[in-house]
Amino acid sequence: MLHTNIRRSIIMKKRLIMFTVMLMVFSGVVFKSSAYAGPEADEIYNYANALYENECFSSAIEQFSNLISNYSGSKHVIEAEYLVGECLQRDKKYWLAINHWKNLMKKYPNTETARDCESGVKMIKRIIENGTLVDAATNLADFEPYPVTIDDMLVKTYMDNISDHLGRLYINEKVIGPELDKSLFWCSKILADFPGSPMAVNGQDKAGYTYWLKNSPSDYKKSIEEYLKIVDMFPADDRWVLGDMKWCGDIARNQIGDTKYAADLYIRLIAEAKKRIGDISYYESYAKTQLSIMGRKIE
Amino acid sequence: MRKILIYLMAVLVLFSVSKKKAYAAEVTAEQTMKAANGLLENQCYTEAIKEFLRVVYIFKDERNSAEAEYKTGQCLMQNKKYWRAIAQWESVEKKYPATEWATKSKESIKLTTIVIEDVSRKVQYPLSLKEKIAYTYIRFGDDFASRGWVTLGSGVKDMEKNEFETAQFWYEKVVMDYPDTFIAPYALEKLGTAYYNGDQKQYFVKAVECYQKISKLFSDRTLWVLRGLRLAADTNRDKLKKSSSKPLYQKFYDISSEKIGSDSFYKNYAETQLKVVQ
Repeated sequence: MLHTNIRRSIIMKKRLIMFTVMLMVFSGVVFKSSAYAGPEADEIYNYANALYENECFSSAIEQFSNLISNYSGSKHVIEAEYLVGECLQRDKKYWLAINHWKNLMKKYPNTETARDCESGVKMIKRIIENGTLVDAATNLADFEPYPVTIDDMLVKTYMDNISDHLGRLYINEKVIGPELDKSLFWCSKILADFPGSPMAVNGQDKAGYTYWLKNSPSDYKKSIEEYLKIVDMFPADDRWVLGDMKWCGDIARNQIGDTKYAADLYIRLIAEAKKRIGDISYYESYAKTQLSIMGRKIE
Repeated sequence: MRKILIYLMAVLVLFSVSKKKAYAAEVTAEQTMKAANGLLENQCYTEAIKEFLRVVYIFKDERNSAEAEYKTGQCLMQNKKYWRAIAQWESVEKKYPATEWATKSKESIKLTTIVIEDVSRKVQYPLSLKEKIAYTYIRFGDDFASRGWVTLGSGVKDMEKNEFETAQFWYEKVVMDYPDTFIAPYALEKLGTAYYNGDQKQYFVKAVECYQKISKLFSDRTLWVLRGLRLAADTNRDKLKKSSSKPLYQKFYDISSEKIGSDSFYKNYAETQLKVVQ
């Protein structure tokens, strides 16, 4: 009898221990899920989307990034990544949006997302196709590469030096030659020291402009030569290439007075614009209009 | 007996845990709503939007969602994002019909429409890439249009046909390629104004045609319909035949009375002009 009681007691104790362990495990699960009870991926996606729709772009980016980092298995991740670029462009951070979408094109090649990103990049480039005509409320600097490396920052410093010299250009309406020469010195220094900076194109553009300011027929020709160098030196910079080619045509027509030379430059501009933009561009229509005014037949 | 006690304890522990969790969620949603209201009162509109939307999408708090979405619209309105505010209130009307917030939304839409009725194009800022491209094309058009007229020695303006036609091409491209954008009717207005600047009878007639086209092509956009009618009527009154402006002002009056209501600037304007051209 005593033996049976001891056995029962042992069995009861074992059951109690087992039950306690089970209870602890269960409570652990419950407590853990309670502590982990953050929002679901769908909720975050909907929340981020609502923030985007209601123009709280930085908050939307925060939530999309949260989804991308912490819910990598979610079906919304790729769209969230694309929408980060949309938030950036709507927040006028165009340069960042272009970079973001270009990275996604590499990450998801030959996908719908890559095609959307490509179209987005193309559209942003169209908006700044003619930089001088962008909306007055839009800061053109939002579209430009901004200084990131020390090289870029020095390019910016040298650009400021150029502006400084050009700012002291006129005394009693007389152009001061040494100031122009100093301006050209800084232009060439940008190109010699930092040719790889995305901002270096500014130096070449300013070289063309400085020669134009020199205001003599030979300098106008030199100005055109400097502007045209951009085509070969910075072939990826559509806006600079096309913008400066337009200038070249205008200088040949208005300052040099050589309509044949101007027409050749406009024709070259049409070909370049077709190659780069594809669809009808401002520059193509501009060049065609000027050719019509000059009485030239356009093919 | 001991077993029953243990079960009871376990049930109690579990119950307290789940209750605590539910209570915590309830308090947080309430607190968030309270915080959002505080931000709205203190004019921190962007931060308030973030909190109101958290109530709707993260807490999914059905008791406060309609109010939170309505107030999101209020914040947008205060941030001068009028068109987005109207869209938000329209969404409240659809999502929460037969609630006080749907009624309030309807009223707010009406009031905001009055606020923007005469400055519609000023507050239509481009946001999407399509809107921005459409706007870019309009600026291309403006560039060519600025060289579209040459003033002759006699003071008469002569059309520089090539430049003007290119301007027309870009304005019309907006209407053709991006008719759904906010800014599409503005391209037609610009084309009308480009003709108007020719300062001769034949071009005023063309300008009126463009302005009337706005009302026809964008008949579902009340503010643009009114703007097109007003520009056409004004041009007729000032530059062509006064009597031709009468039916336009009458139409203008009827639409503004019906769509905007009695407190409308447009309605008063039409009323006054109808008396002037009598």
